[in-house]
Amino acid sequence: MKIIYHCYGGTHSSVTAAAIHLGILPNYRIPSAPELLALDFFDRRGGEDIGRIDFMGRDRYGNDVYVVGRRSRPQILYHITAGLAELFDIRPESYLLVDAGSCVNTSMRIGGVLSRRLGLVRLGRPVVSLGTIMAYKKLCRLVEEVQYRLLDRHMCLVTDYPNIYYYTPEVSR
Amino acid sequence: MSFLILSSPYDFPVAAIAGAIHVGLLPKEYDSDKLWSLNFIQEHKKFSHARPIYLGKTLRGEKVVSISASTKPFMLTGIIETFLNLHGFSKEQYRLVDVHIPGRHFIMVGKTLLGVPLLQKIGRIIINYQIKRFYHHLNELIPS
Repeated sequence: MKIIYHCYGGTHSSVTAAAIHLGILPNYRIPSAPELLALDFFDRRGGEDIGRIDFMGRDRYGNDVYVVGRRSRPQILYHITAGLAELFDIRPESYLLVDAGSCVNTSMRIGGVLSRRLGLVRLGRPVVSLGTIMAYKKLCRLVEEVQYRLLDRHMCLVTDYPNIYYYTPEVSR
Repeated sequence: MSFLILSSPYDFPVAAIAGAIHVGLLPKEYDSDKLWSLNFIQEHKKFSHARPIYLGKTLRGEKVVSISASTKPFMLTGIIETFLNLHGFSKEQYRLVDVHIPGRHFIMVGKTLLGVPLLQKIGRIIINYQIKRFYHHLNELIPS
């Protein structure tokens, strides 16, 4: 299965969640800022990478984990993937979209804008790292839920597995 | 089976208009009545936010689909290309055309006015004006 974590820019919350999923970051303790900044994509993807689904790694169950940025419109990602899946006969249970944007806090937003949008990396990076550390437990819970469902799926041999559409404020507006 | 995927960065289905000309749902010369009689134009709200519109097949058997959403063009093409690539589809199996016409603001204003009951006519006039201006361009955009 392909697990696609997505968020606004595809460079903070989705990358952190994917790293937790892959075991690159621990789920039993909160990592330090240098540990976060050592991640390949963390605070490194720009506006031109929006929409590009990038491979992060393969988890211990053989699932491929990806990250993508989709601005504030996750429904675009949902509609395109669902439409293409139907058109190209891609089984809906072969991929899973997980919205990591639901875990984002104000510090992450401010730091993200400073670093990625305004190019003030030295100012924005510590702020976004602090925000990610503050949101870390929430991200761990999200990943735990995804892994639990995946495990449950493997054990129950459920053939039809729906995509997880987590609550996203911008969708409900 | 090959596919032709048209994407446009507007909430109004401009890519679908180009696709409709390509498959023969619309004539080569602009016809306002025919344009507004099309189901996806009448119910354009249903197909906003990148909901794909299936337009049919070309004479060569190519399936034509359009995707429109008001966003950066590279976001749409990026999602389409990488999603298909990670499922093992190569660029030889589909053609992706980015449908662009100048005057994004006209389309945006026209689309917004179409949603306001008393201003629908003005919205339609604005969209008609803009589509008519670039209809020839939409017609020639897709290489056969």
